[in-house]
Amino acid sequence: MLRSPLKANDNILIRQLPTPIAFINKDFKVVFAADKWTQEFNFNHGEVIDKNLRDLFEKLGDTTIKSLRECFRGQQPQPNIEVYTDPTFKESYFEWSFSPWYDEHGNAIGAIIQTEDVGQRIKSDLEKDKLEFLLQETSRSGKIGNWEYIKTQETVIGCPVFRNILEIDEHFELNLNNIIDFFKSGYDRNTISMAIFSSTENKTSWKEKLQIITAKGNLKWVMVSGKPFYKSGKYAGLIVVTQDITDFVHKEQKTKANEHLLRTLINNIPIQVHIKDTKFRKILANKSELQFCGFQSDTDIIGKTDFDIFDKETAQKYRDHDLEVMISQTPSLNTELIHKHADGSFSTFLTSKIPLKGENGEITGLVGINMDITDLKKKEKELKTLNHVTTQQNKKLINFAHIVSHNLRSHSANFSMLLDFLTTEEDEEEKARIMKMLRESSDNLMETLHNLNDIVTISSEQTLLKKKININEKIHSVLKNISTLLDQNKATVVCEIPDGVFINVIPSYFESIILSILTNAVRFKKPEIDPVIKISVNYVQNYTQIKIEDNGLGIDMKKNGHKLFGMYKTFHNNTSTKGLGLFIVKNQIEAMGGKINAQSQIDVGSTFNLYFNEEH
Amino acid sequence: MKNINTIFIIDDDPITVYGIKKILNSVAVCQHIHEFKNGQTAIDEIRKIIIENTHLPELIFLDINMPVMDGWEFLEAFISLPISKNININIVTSSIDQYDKEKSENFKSLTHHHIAFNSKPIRKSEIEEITKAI
Repeated sequence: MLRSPLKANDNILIRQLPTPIAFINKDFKVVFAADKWTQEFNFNHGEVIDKNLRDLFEKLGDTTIKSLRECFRGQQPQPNIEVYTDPTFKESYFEWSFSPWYDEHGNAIGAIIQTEDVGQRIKSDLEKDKLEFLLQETSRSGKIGNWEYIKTQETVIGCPVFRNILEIDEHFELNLNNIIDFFKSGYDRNTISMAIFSSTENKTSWKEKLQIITAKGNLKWVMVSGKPFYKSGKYAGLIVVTQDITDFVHKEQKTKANEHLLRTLINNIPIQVHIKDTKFRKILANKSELQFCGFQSDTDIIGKTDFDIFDKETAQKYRDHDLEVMISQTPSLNTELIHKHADGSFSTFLTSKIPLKGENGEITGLVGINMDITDLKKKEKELKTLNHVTTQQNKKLINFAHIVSHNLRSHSANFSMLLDFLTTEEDEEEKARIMKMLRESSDNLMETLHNLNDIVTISSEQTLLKKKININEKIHSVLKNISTLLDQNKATVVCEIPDGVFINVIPSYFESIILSILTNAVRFKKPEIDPVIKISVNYVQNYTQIKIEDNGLGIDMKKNGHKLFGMYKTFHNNTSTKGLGLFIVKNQIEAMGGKINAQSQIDVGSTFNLYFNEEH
Repeated sequence: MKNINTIFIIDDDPITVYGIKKILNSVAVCQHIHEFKNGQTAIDEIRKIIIENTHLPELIFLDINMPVMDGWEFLEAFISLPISKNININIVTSSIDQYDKEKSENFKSLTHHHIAFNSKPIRKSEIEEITKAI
């Protein structure tokens, strides 16, 4: 403290002080000022001496005035901060410290002001506040805690967030051992022990994802990263950041599980699924799709278009469909589609294409779903065929029952009537006539029963074995058998079937069928024209078709077409016909899985088409 | 005894024809009995009668199951012919199918001719009734 009176050269002395100091008298006038002080506030030396402080600093705070007054009374005030705005309007912060200025008698005659630029200090204080806040907030919301191991003191300091993670209160005394014990025994505890050991020994830092069991017994996932620190090259301790990532891990696990579920589902449904981008490249394909396209792995198909996979025609067909869906932006669902495989076989698919849209409604691609319904289609067809066969057989059965009852009844009616006559008849000659008729009727009944038996045999003995036969050979053997009939009627048979054509049939049925149709053709010839019969072979769908054309009488198909193959139907006044031949033919050919139809025109001739099914 | 001018028997079974004829002759005096083996020959004859304006039959016995033209086809053709006279048609069939009976009922409703459905064997008493009604 300055207690000696100041002399004139004191002025020089004070000017040279290394700290910014000014002496103020009780009138607030500057008496002495160190050059440092005048420079600090951008004054010239001459400017400040004898000037009132309040004139020099227009915005001098009340606290400063108050502090100065305290000094004038010999008191010691607290320093305060003044904001100083320089001529360029740049603000600086100064701490003003005050001391009373005493004369040699110890009377306060003014105040000594020392100023210090504290801009930097204030700035770092602010920064520190900010950083602390940031750290606190991040650690709280990010559930990031930290703890520090200080070797010299053998202590561990854990922040509140860290304690929160472990679910312990602020009184729980932490040390390295009990921290390690919080980690789940086994892999997790081993890992953390090794990490801590290795960081003390080898100066390594670490980062591990581990599980802990909290004080309350909850299992949590944490990300632990640690770094050893050193003082003068010597190991001094550890700083460890511990983040609770339980929620994140759970979410991740859930997402992974969902993704896995979806993948498993898509891969294992027996439906082909693919996704194409806007350039029609496949960007996803499931197992069925890979199989269908003939690829082994995802990488073989990703990025390929239909043109890289299928033939041009097929690819174009799919491309057109894709385009339609992408342009219209509406899904195309369950379209039936026939796909031609590379080996020439066909499959039927139920195909759906659904456009994929981005956030703004723009098309980003499409999902294609194909279901192979080939087997289903085949079964449907089989079922239809079966249904048809059943209906046909049912019809036949009713027809047959009808005919049987009718025929048997007509004979029994005749017996009944003739017997009635016989009992009352007295004329012997008439009696003999009736007896003769009874005998005829009995014979007819026998024959009818015989015919019916033949038909039942065809319908029930479908197990007769089929054999491959040479069509030409068989037809020629039939022709030989009826050569007398043919010669008598001057009939010509032209067989256009090439040699070596084989067919799978029941040989006896085949012979009987050919025989029936050929004899019919001769029997129903035009009286004045010699019969000409043409036989040819053809392939129609899955059938071998044998065509037998004649130039006979012909039948009115409009009137009698539906009765042509019926039982006991005759169409010509020809006593030798019984109306059974074509009925038996139809039954025999159907028993072999084939079919028959006819075209005919009166006075032109008839054509019978026999279809033999190769498969059955 | 009733006197009937013309009777047609259309049936391909000679025994039935014989039976009907035999009974007819025992219950009525029949001037002309014509036999036909199927519907076609019978309808041809009837058409000829209409054109030549000769005697139409008063009574027809008609079988159903016949070759070439069966009984139903004959009926169809017959009822479409311009015949004002009421002709007595007796279906005589071995069928006991309800469907056939219904079919004959249907024909009845379509024509002014008298149509009756009889099952084989036809009895003397039935033919007596038929001839009386003429």
